[in-house]
Amino acid sequence: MNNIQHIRVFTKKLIYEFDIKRNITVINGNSATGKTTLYDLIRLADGIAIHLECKRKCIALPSKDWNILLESSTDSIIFIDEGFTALKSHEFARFVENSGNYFVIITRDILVSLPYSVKEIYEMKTSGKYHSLVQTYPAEVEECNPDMAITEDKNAGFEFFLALCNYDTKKCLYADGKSKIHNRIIEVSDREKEILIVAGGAAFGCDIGKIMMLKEYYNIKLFLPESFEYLLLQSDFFKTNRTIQEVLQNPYKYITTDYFSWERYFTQLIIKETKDTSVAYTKKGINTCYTLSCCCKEKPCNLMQLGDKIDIVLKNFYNKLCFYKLRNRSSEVSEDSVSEVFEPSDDFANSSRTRDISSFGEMNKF
Amino acid sequence: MMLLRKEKGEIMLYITLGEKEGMVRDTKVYFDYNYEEEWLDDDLVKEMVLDVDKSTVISHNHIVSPVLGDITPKDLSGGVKTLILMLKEPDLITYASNCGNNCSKWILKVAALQDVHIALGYIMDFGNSGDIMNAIIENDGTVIKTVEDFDFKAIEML
Repeated sequence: MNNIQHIRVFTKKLIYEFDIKRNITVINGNSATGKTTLYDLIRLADGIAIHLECKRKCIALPSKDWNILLESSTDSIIFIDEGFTALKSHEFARFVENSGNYFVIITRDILVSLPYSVKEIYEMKTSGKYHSLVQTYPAEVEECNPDMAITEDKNAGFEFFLALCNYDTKKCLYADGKSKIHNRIIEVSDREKEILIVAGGAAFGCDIGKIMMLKEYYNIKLFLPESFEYLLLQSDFFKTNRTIQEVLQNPYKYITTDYFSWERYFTQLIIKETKDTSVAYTKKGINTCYTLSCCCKEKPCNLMQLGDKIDIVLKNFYNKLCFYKLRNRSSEVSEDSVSEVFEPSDDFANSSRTRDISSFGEMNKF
Repeated sequence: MMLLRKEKGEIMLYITLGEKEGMVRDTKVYFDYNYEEEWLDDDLVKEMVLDVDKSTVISHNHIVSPVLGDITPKDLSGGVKTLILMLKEPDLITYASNCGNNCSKWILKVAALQDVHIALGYIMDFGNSGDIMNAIIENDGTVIKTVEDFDFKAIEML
């Protein structure tokens, strides 16, 4: 069983049919594509004039007394039209986080309080009387060979990509959070440089609009895996971990509406599955096992992989991503200049290439 | 960008980035209970209905939609209702987030005829970056002369 919800609502003149996959879905796009009609059909569905087929209860949320209605609703699909007055309120965001319902929100506004996925932003596709949803941003990675990369923050993802760039802080920058990535891009004055934006797509929905607008002015490419933790989980590091593989093969079965975002789920998963091991994952300060080559040349490490760790994580994306320019040290950068500007996390600072051989007893854990 | 004084008598598009107190957030409710039938006799309204909703105004209470068939003005899209309110009730502050990008050229056309006041919660596509666009950002008085000016101001403030 998975948690994808199939919805079909129809009259003699109109048919809407689509799937809802995550707890928050956003529908926007051009005017006059039938978005408000969908909301009205849900609101007025009576089984006679308007038929609604869905395993879960579908509710059209009004602006008045919405909190009372939401408090009494569970395991439902809540539809919200663009006139909903509380849409941007923190109170509404708290209800969404704790409700256990699915939310389908018709809006063009930037909803900074809600962590929705780039993949769950849709436009209405109309063909005669048939209406369906089409992803606005279907691709999580764009073909590129970037000159520089910008990550959403200074955490583990940044440290990983900085390692990819051979610790060249002119090639790998970080923003003060995903909602500030656009500021970092604007600070890059050279509009010809190819800039790779690396961010967790699972919660990037409210920020994608600004980045797409900046693509008109800057040479921007996007790399938006679900999250950095997902990037590690999908690599060969965890290919023998049955729990992780089951989740990756059928995420909709495991990531229920109890999780505010897939990003949080994958973070919890990798922390849980690596806890109390030498490859324990933390968001702040990446474990060097995920970036440095194996320290014991003759035996596999706890992650059961020898070789370039960066390649192991990213190889599934090499049909689109080329990191030649990022990985090759430019002639202007000396070892001294890199160490002056980069302040390594404690894990980097204390890492040793000589590992206690007794830790290999843990390799069967994965 | 420079802050310039609006020329006296110059018609202008006034944009509040984000929400504004007193704005008509729920276009559907306002339009459905306040529209005037004769609004649909206006040639510019008919053009907007045809372009955005792909529908033909036959009379002020009869419109033909390719999807819905015979409809009334209440069945028009939220976007075109918002455009009609901009044109016919210029004292209102309409919420242009109810308009998709396919409405942006009509906002500029109406603003070329009379002052238009809108609030906007997303970065609407007003055209190519170098296109002329005369507007004032009411949040801080910034004068917008091109679409590029607007794009970067919207990114900053939304």
